[in-house]
This record gives sequence, structure tokens and C-alpha cells, in this order.
Amino acid sequence: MEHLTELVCQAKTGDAHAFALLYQEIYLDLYRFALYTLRHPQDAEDAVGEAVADAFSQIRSLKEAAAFRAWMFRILTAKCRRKLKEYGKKTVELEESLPQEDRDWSEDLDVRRAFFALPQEERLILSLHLFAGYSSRETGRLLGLPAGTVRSRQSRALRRMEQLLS
Amino acid sequence: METKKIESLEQKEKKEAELLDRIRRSAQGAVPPESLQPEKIEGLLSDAAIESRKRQKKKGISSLSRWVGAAAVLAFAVTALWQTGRLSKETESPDRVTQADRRESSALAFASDYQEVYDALYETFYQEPAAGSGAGYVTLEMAAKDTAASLGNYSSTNIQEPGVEEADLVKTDGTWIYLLGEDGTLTIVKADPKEPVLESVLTLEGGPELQVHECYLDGDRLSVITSTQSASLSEEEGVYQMESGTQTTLSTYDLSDRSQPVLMGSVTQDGSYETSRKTGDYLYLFTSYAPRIADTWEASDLSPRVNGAALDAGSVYLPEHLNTDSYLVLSSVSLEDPDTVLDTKALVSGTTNFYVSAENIYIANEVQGDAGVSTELVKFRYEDGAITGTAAGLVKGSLNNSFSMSEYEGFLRLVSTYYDEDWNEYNALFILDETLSPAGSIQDLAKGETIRSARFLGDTGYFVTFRQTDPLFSVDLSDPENPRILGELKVTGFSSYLHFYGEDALLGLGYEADEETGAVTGLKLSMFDVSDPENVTEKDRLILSGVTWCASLDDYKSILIDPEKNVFGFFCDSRYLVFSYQEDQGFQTELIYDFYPDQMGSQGGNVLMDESNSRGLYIGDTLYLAGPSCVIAFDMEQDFQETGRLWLKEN
Repeated sequence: MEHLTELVCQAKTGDAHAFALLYQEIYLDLYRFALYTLRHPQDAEDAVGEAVADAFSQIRSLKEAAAFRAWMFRILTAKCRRKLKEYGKKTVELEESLPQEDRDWSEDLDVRRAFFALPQEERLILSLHLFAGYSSRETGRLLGLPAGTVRSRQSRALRRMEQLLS
Repeated sequence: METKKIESLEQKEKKEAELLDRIRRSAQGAVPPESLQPEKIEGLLSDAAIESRKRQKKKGISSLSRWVGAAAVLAFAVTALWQTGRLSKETESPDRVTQADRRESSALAFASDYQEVYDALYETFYQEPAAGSGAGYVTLEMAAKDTAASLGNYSSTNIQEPGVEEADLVKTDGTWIYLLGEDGTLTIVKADPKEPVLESVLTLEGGPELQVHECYLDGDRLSVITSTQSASLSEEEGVYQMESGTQTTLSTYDLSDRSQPVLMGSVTQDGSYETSRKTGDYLYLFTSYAPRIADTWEASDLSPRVNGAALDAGSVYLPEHLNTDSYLVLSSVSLEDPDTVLDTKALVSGTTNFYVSAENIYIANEVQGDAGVSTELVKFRYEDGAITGTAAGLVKGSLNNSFSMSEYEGFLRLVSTYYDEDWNEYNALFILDETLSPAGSIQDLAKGETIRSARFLGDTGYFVTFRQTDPLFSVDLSDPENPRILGELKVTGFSSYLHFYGEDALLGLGYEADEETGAVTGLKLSMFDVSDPENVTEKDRLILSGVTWCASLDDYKSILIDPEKNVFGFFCDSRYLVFSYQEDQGFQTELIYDFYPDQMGSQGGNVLMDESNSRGLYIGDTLYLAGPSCVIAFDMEQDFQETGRLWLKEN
């Protein structure tokens, strides 16, 4: 793994390989973030794809190489919010489209179902914490909410999940 | 009334951490599809980079503007002449104008036909998927706030602009309470302090998939906005095509017999419901329509249908620079003839905020460009059902919500928050003239802070920015070319909703925050004395420390507020709070109604009454909490004692 700053510099010159190396480090989390926020595997795939295309085209606007991860998540969050807004209008329900993997433990599936039952915004807030590693302050900044609000919504979401799981 | 389950903070944190771990584990099985594997992505990006370089050579456009230019720049004009006039004006005062140099001449012109719309959309969004459209940045709608008019001795929906009605989930006419249910029903209850009576439950037309949004009440007429998802199969030359989309319907019912509302008529338009307004007998319905863009124009579907008929391309405004492939569709309906659409216009644009003054509709759309976030504005004039696009403009930054805009004597005043190159936040106030050209502004205000609320009254504007404390700014707007900050009051916490409360008083509803960290520590009510805008003072405050978040403050229509009756109430977590204010005694807490300890209040962990489905309202001296499960009456003269209750749903 080459140095982050170096890779970002190369990516800024349009080096797709350097960008892909940066991407490789975080793409699992990017996908999981999108999947848990959007609940649709297909939409998650689209959102990550679009975010990557935008990021690559705009990487010159990234000032701090160290902020690459947070920056990618910011772009992805914008993509996801756009899709969420569309859902709000369409009320698509998905449920059965949960991806089936080998690791099909019922515990995991239950947890995922409970998570997917949360309202959009709560999923987004929790996903930012879980997969993007955002603090409530950073999440608040991104979503335009006070940090305390982020924390209380997070607690409320977890309370709801607990009730669903019990 | 308030019993709270005691759970130590430590236990709570431990439980939360465990659950977070379980969620994380549950995600480990989620494997990204093939297309997102790093090597695939690399291949895709390499191709795109080559394509992009080729294109630049061909067109001679700098790569940056190619990538993000489309999203960043947008300007409309009604006519080329008008545009020319405006551009020259901007050139005279470049520093007052936001991104003026980046505006290109483009007209708020109608499309000549749908082929033109198709070409524009296809080229921008579909031709080279990797090129994208720049970051299409849309914020979640943060709801706004405002004015409840009191007509007669009962409350009405809290609205932003006097005289411009807004729809809601619950309405009352002083005798009856009308409730819309998520299950597709309209419930009519005869209000009575001792014994509210269920009059009728009407199942709205539209089938089980019906989504119920909001309604308007006008005497004996009730107009309900609903939407449905449709899917149909069409066949052309042996090829089957599946079409699906959302239709929004406005259905008007005759209520002469409350026990049996009768459908008088309805109109339907393509697209999902955005918002609506009503003035007099005219209703204006706004939907967002997604055209189907296929690889060829023939296979695409670009015309939204309104009442079954495809909208003429000549009614579609096509901006030169596109930032989204959806249209905003605006229609008008007269309640006298609820089956007929009077006028329809469409605009190829997304929308972040709507503001409707007594004469104009303002569409604000936030776009992300290489110079940061900016807000595009399009103005439509409306009168007796006719809708006409009249102007367009652009300001930098994003708007907090619809209260960040206000029209007065032809000028649009707005406040926005933006970032500079180093990600420092700043705020600005802009005044735009009738053509949405900049008249005056104050920029670079309150570094590092974000606008949390705003309210305008005549020549004076007030807005709150926040980081650790809450400066409440007052601005003199009497000279649109030279707005002037009059004062800045620093208090702790911040207000997220402002409402003028009687003469010379401004009520702020918001949160108390730690001065060091900015962390929210409780709910805060502030009464500001604005008799002297240069010396605004906080004359009273009330802090409720147990509270961390009140959803109502982000959803102004869920706030009951009537300064004349001296009462305001809203939902906060699982409670409904009611307050009044006395000059000499400050804020009085009238009612804290907690839904949790009450069996009816919660079901499977979900509070059955909250800001998303219920409202507080008053009729005479009775306060009603009305929601899908029940209607509860409280005597406002007798310490808000509960006097009656009607169950609407078995528990």
C-alpha cells in the first residue's frame, strides 16, 4: 500500500489505478453503508458507482489527502439522500430483495431486518456512524443537525431496534 | 403525569454499544457485486478518462467545467432582452453578485417539442454515465415553520405566508375535526369537550396502495391529496413495455352530509407529491415527475400526463443547464370545478424548497458545483389559476428552509449559508428584485456558523446563526440596495423556529446548548423583545432539560400556535407540550402529555401519536390532540384536565 498522499496526488492527475487503490481500502464499507441506508442491493450498487464516478472526476477539489475516506462518504451520502428522497415519493418496498449469502445466520438476518425497518433518516444516521465512522458532530455537520439531535436520534433508533428484536 | 423509566446512563451506553456491534456483524455478509470490485472500477474509470479527454479536444472545453459545469451554472431569463439587461447590471457590481461571471445567457424558455427535452436530458444524464452530472446534491427536506391564523375561535394550520393556505393531516372548522389516516381513510369527528363523537370514516378511492398526503378544508368542501403507484403493460410491434410511475390525485368531497361525504370531482397528474397551496377557490398542486429516458427518443416517455392528457411541450420550461432529469409539474384547479385542471406548467428541475407568496411561487433548488453549493431560483407568477414563469436567478449557498425566503414589495429577501474554499462556513443575506437580479446583499456573516432559522416582517428581518451560542441578527431591509445589520443578540442555545408573538415580540423555539461544546442540553423557549430592532433583548426564557429533540420544530405545520389565544403546543419525543406566555410571569407550562406510560400511547414500541400523524388544535376553550388512534380533549380553562376521549382504533 503506497502512501495515501501519494496516491491522492496521482489520482488527481487522472490515474485510475491510483484511485482504484484508494477505493479498494474502503469499498466494502462504502457498499455496506449504501446497502444499509438504502436497503436495495441494486440501488446501493448504483449509488456507489455514481459516487465513485463523481469522486474521480472531482478529486482535484480534495484538499487533504487524509480526508479521502470522509470525502468519499460525503459524496456517497449525497447520492444516497437523493435516492432516499425519491423513495419518499415512491414508497417502494423491498424486503425480499435482501441479498442471500452463505453467512445466512438467522441472527444476522434478524438484525438486518430490524435495521431495515427503521425510518430513512435513522438508517442514514446509524450507517454514517457504523460504516463511515462519523462522529455525531460530523454527522450533524453533514446533515445540518445539532450533534445532540444526531445522538438522540441514534438512541431512539437503537431503542426501536431493540424492541423489534425482543 | 411524567413517569420515566429509570435506566442508568451506563447501562444504556453498554446496550447501545452491543447493538451497534450486532449491526456491524450483520453487515459482514453483505458482499459488493462484481461491478464494484476495485479492478472493475479501475477499468471503468480509465475508459471514462480517455473518453473525457477525447471530448475535451473535440469541444475545447476545460475538463473541470465539463465535469461539473452543468450542475454549477444555471441562469434563466424570460427573454433574451431581459437577460441582456440583467447581465450588464451584474457586471457593474461584480462583488455583490454571486457567481455572476459564471452565469451564461440562457433563457427560461419553453421547449419547442419533447424531442428537444429528450436531447437535452439524454445528453446531460445518459450519454456518458461515468461523466455524471456533477454531484447532484439534494438535501432532505427540512421542514419549515410559521404563522397560524386564527379565524373564529378555533385554530388553523400553522402556515408561512398570511393568506396562502397550506394543506395538513388534520383540519378543523370549529365544529368538526377531520383526520387523514395513513390507511387511506378520512375520519370525521364531532368535537365535544366531554364526548367527541365519531361521525364517519370514509375509505378514500385509490385502492390499498393509496398514499394519503394532506388535505384542505373550505366550508363544505374537503380536498384530499393522495398518490398511487401505477404499472401498466403496453405492446408495440410485439415488444412489451412495462411502464410505471406515481400519480398524484386531488379529490374534492362535498361534506354537506358529514356522515356521508360525496366525491365531487378529482384531477390526477403524473409525479409524486411535493407540496401544494391554496388561495381563495384555487388550489395549486406541485409534483415531481420522472421521465423515462431510453436510448432513443422514440422509446422514451417525456410528457407528464395531467388529467389523462399529455402536457404540451410548449408548457415545459427547459433551462439550458440541467442538474436533474426530473420535472417539477405545477397545476391549478378551481374548487368550483374540481374535475378540471385550469393551467399546467412544468420546469425541468429538482426542488429543495418552495416558497409561495400571495402572488408568486418561488422554486429553490440546491446544486453542487465546483465553486460549492448554490441555490437556483425560479419564479412563477400565479393568479386565479394561471401560472406563468417570470424570472430566474442564482445565489450562493444553501437555504435552511422555506422561511429563509420572504417576498415584500416585489423584492425577494433570502438568507443562505455557504462554505468558502477552505470549508469555512459563512452566511449571507440577499435581496433580489422582481427579475431576481441582485439588488443588495450582506455577505460573509458569522463565520463558522450556520443559519438555523429566519423570519421576516415588513422591512425587518431576523435570523439565527449557531455554533456554540445563538446570535439573533436583526436586519434593516428598507433600502433593498443597502441592507444593514441593526443588531446582534448573543444568547445561549439557538432557535430553530421563530414566530412573531403579539406586538414587538418574537418567540424562538429551539434548544439550549453548552456554551463550551455546543452540545444540546435541553429544549429552550425564548421571548425576544424586538420593539427596538437595534437593541433586541431576550426578555424571558424557559429551559426544559429533559428534552433532546423535538421533531415538531422541523415540521412547522405540526406546531399549534396562536398568539391571540396565547397558546402554543408541539410534539417533543413522545410528549405533547403546551405553553402560554405572560408579560409579567414569563412562560407557563400548561400541559406535558406523555404518551409512553399510557397504554394507548404505544404499540409495539411505536408511539401512536407523533408529529408525523397527529396534531394539537383548539376549539373554544378545549384543546384536542387528534391522531389516528384517538382524539383527546383537555379543558384549557381548568389546568388542561382531560375531559373526554374518543377511541378510533382498537388497541
